Amino acid sequence: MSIGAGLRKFTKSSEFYVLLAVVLLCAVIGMRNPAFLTVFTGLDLLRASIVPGIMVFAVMLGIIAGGIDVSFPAIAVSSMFLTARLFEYLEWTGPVAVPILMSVAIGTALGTVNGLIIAFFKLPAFIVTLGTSHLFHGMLVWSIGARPVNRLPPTMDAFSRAEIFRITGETHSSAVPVTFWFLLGTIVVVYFILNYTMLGRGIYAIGGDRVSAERAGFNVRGITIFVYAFIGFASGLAGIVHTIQSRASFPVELIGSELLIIAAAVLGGTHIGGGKGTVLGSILGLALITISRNSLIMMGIPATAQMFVVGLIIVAGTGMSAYQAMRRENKLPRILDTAGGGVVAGK
Amino acid sequence: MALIKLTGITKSFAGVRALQNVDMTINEGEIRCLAGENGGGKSTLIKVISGFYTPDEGRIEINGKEYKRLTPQQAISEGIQIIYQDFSVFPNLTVAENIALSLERLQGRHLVNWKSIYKNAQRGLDMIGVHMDLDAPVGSLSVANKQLVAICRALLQEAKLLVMDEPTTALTRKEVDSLFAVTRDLQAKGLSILFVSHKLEEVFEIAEELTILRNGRKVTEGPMKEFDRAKFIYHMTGREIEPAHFKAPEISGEPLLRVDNIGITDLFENISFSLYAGEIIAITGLLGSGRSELARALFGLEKLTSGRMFIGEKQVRLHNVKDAINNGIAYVPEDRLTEGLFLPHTINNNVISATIGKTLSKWRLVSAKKTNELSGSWIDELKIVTPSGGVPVQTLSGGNQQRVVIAKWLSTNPKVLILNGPTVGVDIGSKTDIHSYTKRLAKDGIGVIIISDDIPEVLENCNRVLLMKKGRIIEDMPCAGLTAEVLSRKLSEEVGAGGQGADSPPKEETA
Repeated sequence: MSIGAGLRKFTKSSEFYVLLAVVLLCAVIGMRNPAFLTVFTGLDLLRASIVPGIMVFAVMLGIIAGGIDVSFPAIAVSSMFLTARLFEYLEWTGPVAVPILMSVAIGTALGTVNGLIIAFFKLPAFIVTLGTSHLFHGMLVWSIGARPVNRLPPTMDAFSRAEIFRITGETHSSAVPVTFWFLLGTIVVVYFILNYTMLGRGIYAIGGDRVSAERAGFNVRGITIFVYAFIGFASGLAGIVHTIQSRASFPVELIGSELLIIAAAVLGGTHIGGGKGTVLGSILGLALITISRNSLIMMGIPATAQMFVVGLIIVAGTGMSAYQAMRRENKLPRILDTAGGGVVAGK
Repeated sequence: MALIKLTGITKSFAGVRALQNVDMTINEGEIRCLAGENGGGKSTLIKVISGFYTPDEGRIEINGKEYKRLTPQQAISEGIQIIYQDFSVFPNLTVAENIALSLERLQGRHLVNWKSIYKNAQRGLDMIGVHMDLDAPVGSLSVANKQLVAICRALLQEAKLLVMDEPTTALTRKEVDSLFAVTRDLQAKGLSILFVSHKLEEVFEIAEELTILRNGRKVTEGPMKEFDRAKFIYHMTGREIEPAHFKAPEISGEPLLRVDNIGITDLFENISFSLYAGEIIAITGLLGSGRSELARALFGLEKLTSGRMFIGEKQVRLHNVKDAINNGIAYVPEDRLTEGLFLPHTINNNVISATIGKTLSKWRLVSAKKTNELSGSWIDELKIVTPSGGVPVQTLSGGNQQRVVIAKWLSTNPKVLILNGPTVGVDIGSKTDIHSYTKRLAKDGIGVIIISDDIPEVLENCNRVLLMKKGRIIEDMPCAGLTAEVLSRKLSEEVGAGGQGADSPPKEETA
């Protein structure tokens, strides 16, 4: 494929429209407030996107496989708070990798519970995770209480201050924290799974047509369990990164962020009915959500109106792609041959 | 030499014998047809061959090797491939992936090798000599191309026996021809084909050997040349069915429905005809001729952009289905599964769904008693085979499902009944019943329009046939004296090319 043809194909993809929306949003904010278009804002946004980002790509995997997981914030908060509490109690001074692995292990375990229920009882993921979300979070609050952890172990605290690089200007100074590698790692792993493994193609296959996937010999049950275990894994990671970033742990955080995370994936072109979705699209969707959540204030939109504007962007964005799909699908093929034109078969 | 030999296969589900002592042998390089009505045991037998069902009794021998318990994986590695009725393709994946992914899986790969996927997909397409864009998503392909993708996928997995389950259901005549060409080509390469069908014309065209199942038993088998139409139908249904021609009624008074030069931009134009009480007229044409679009427009599902429509003397404009119902028009759609039925709901709920107003109690709530009475009377009237009206429609056979759709629309007391493909996917017994019932309705004074390309159906049930091509009616002829051969030829002739036999030649476009 030539570069020109590739470019033309890209302009027809759903990712192109999201990119357009991101550029447009940046241009509008930048026009109102030139301070937005600086490297400092960019780095701050990058930092703000780490925790939601890790979750977006995992959730996208679930949606592609045809299931909507809404329990990931509950898993994230359960893993991180349990871990923070435990290591506070242990007065841990060992390597930071241990609490991180602990949180990830808890997340994976909880995700596997979701996966087992969904795969063996063939229930819709949405219903199952609606239930387990309360189950996990309720169990956390009930069993270990709601007293926050205000002081992290010293090694975690030090890790939270570690930076990949920092740019310092006359008035501003912004840095990319080391935790950014976790986001990058998640993106690379999800991209690799989806595009270069049979497992990934199986995820698309299940989302496209579950019965056909079974007939084609895909291990539908195994793939389903993997998908939800992976969402749990990523949630555990996102949770502990969130705790590290905020240098404290509260048992009620992240809860309520699920719909915005799902919206980021859907805005990026992930088909809510399954079978379609790309990493690039979700990166753009994530950018759109992160920018509108964090930068509308720079445009002079008051905090009270922000939720409204974010909602507007989501409705307009998802509505646009739905409208496009509708136009494609509802077009009746032309039957009458009119002057000059050949018979055109409908697509 | 026998490729697969089944002996004494018996399979029961919850006490119901789906297959009883069935023997069948498929030899290398033969095209065998497995025929039978819906519910006759064809699907169960396919699932036994493909390893999805383990028979209760009987022996399965493939390539001389006997299997006690045949698993789907073993069946695949013995070269048995099923082309399912829905093709089992992935609409969201590309042509290349759909064709080659199964092979990659079979080879036990865990990582995707895109190069070999494209190479193998191309090899698959070359095997049947067709060209397709490997990058196109399969969801955007025509039904026929989806089927070819499924066939290529099967061939790549070194198929020795290709089982095609009702492969022609959604194909146009032209597509059926090219499918048959591919099938014969594969046979010449030594493949065996099991062609599962209940369509008489096609079975006679493609098959060499025939096995007929009825009520789970093999009733007969033998070379195709030993069968004729009557014998075939007799074995399929277990009864003799005499074709009865529909006699033209005395036409008098105002037409029930009259359209004058109606059209929809890009779809059809210059359509004029009248339908009188007691008439059954056919609108025939190939898929894509505009016949379904016309039918939908007559029922208010598409908006006319030109011309006038009259019900009796009154000119009407249909903005939606409600307008059509209020004007006494009923429409039995082409695809009952997606357009005509609420599959998980009961027969009762389906029957009353177009006439809920009739079942209301004095408190304006749906009355179970009235629902039961209304639905029950239709179950009797149309001889729907069911233990009760409370059974979900999805558990019924195709023929009984179609009767439910018809009941739903007849309960609106229509003056004009439009039947779009009324017997597609319906077994011969139900087909005969639906036909004779339609004729009775006409006798009672309803005007019926049948949209169909099933030539015997058109000739035996209608008094007039309108031939449609590329969005125009090119001929309006009485059925009396018309033979199947002539109608078939007219149907497949290209518009404008030659055009002999057409009384009113198609209008030439000014370029």
